[in-house]
Amino acid sequence: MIELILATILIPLAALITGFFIPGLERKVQARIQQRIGPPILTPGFWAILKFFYKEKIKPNSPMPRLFHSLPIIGIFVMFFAVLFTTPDWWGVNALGTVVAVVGLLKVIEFLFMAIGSFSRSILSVSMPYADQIKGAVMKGEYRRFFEQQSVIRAFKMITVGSFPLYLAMFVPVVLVKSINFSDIVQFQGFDASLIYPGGMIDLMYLNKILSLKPILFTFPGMLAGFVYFIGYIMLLNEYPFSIEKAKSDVIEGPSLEYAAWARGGYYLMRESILFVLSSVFITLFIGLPPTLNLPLLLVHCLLCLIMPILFSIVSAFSPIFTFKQIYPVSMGFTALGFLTIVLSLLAVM
Amino acid sequence: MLEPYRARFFVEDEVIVDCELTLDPYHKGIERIMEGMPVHKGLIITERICGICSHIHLWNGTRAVERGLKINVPERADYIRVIMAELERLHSHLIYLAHATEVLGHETMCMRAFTLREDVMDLLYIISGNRVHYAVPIIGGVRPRCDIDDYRMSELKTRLSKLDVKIGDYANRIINDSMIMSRVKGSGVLTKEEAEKYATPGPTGRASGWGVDLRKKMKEYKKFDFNVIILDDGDNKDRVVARALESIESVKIIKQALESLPSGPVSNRSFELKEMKFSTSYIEAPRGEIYDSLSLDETGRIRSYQNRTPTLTALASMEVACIGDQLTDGMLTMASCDPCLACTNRAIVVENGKEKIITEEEVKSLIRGGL
Repeated sequence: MIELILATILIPLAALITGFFIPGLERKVQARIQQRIGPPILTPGFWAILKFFYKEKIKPNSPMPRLFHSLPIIGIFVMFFAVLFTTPDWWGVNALGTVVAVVGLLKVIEFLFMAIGSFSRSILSVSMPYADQIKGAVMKGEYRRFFEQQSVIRAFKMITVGSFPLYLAMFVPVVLVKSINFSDIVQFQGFDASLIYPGGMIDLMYLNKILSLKPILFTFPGMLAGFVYFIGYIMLLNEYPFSIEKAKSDVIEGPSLEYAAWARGGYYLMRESILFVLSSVFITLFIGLPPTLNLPLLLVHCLLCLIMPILFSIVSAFSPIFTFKQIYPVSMGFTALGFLTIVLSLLAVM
Repeated sequence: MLEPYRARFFVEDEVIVDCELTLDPYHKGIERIMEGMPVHKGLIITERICGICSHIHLWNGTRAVERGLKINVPERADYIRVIMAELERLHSHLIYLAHATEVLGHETMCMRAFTLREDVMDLLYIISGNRVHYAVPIIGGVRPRCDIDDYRMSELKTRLSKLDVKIGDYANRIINDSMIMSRVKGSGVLTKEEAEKYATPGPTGRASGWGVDLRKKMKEYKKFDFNVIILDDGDNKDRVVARALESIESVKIIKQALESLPSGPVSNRSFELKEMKFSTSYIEAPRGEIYDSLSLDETGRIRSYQNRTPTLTALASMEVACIGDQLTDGMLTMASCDPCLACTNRAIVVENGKEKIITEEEVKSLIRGGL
């Protein structure tokens, strides 16, 4: 029981600490590609949040301000649960340590972006003067849409088409292992549960054990699935080139525009936790190293979680924003690749 | 939005079905400020119309006076003016490429364009000593401090040879990037007929196949061999490519000018400022045609100065070009004409807080009589 409580507290904490570094790393990598110095590593992820928490609280112009403000907090908790479901201590709790459960939580996160947009009415949308309306003209048959609502429609489209590749890739290990349980998936890759509680001492034994893992990522279907997961990961994060939801040039940051002061800090925290969790789920599924209470293993897990954000920041640095004209075919292509990978996995286990 | 204008898009799903543009906040009142000023003092203010193509405004204003008073300009001065104008075109086009790629969401290409621009700014600095307002032309030539001596000549030649290669590489990188091309190809199409109808100026019009380049008509450019870049598709891709190719042509002109820079004085001071009737001058600025007109009174003070910049018609034509595109492409289309609102908005008339409609006759009388 004590292990369960410790894991519930310490693993989200580790996720949070790692998350503080991720935005800074992203910015640093992109800045280096662009031959700039870039901000200090901790500034975008950690100091920015502190700054936002310190600022004067602002009441949003939302129809349901409290719910609107609480959405990032809900997002943070949802993401922490997603990472907890992959930890060995939680595998036994109500059988939640399954891929299906994590997929469900990720879907909640996708929905949260829609809800954030729906509940926000930013000052730029509301107060923008329309000369013909000021004069009393009625725009018959026209529907005036807020910036955020435009983003909501985009978020909805992304939920329907954009997230397929990620979920398909997540089910490749399930097919290969013939189980939806994380415990079976990591065991299949050589993870030894007895490593979890030696007390957190750094020992070469752990290194040997980590090196002796046989990750699904290094199999042919695993590699393909890893690639598909990576593209789905960028899509789910709404990052370049799939950042249509917050395309600054036309909808001005979309749903997050209304967040200010501590609420924006909360929104940043949610983004950081998503960044960590998606990487963490990948490491658990495809490398077979779940987040555990064991300090060296947890450290390795957290370090591996930094690789994917670095890779996506490189991709983002070299890509423009896609409109749906480009997103649809790209998404369909990767969905097809995901299906192909599942078929290959089925053939491999038959 | 990078410029103070409002583009109102009417969309069905994500597709633009109509567009309405409103230009507003900037009004510097430069035409009014210049009224009554001595011409040599007043013209320098024209540089403040724009921080990007400042030289061309000063040159055109000066040119209008020189045309009106029939002042001869030494050939060396003409060459230096051309060199400055083409360097300015280079840096303006590089800003455009940076802006366009930024609107595309391609930050890296945006940053690289700005890095390239720094090299051009260095060249402008070497000649004029300034990075923004160069103050090179004066009535009758160019300022003596802007003469190109041996040191400047060797610096310019060395740096220009490297710049030529860099711009070529950058253009190739844009043209060969399939992700960039997927965004810009086929979006924001402005046909040749529409370009003619809306009098779309400069490279924006030329990207739609409307081959008007005032440089080919200007005596200052007669000695230089360069191509007018005319493209046929009229889409965002062509507007980007046109600027990239024009940048290479500009380097070509500068190289020729440096190779054959004539010796002699850089200014003619033997003229007399006197009453001048209405005089006009048209010039090819980086964004397109600029018009300047002014007259002088008997003491050489400015009367009824008027300036027209290319953005007004270029941006108006984009209202048509963006219809049928995705919303995100719409913003790119707006940016693709290289709008410069700082130099475009000329007048706002407000009387007792109410909108006032001015007739054509009233406008003419205002222009003649001084606004």
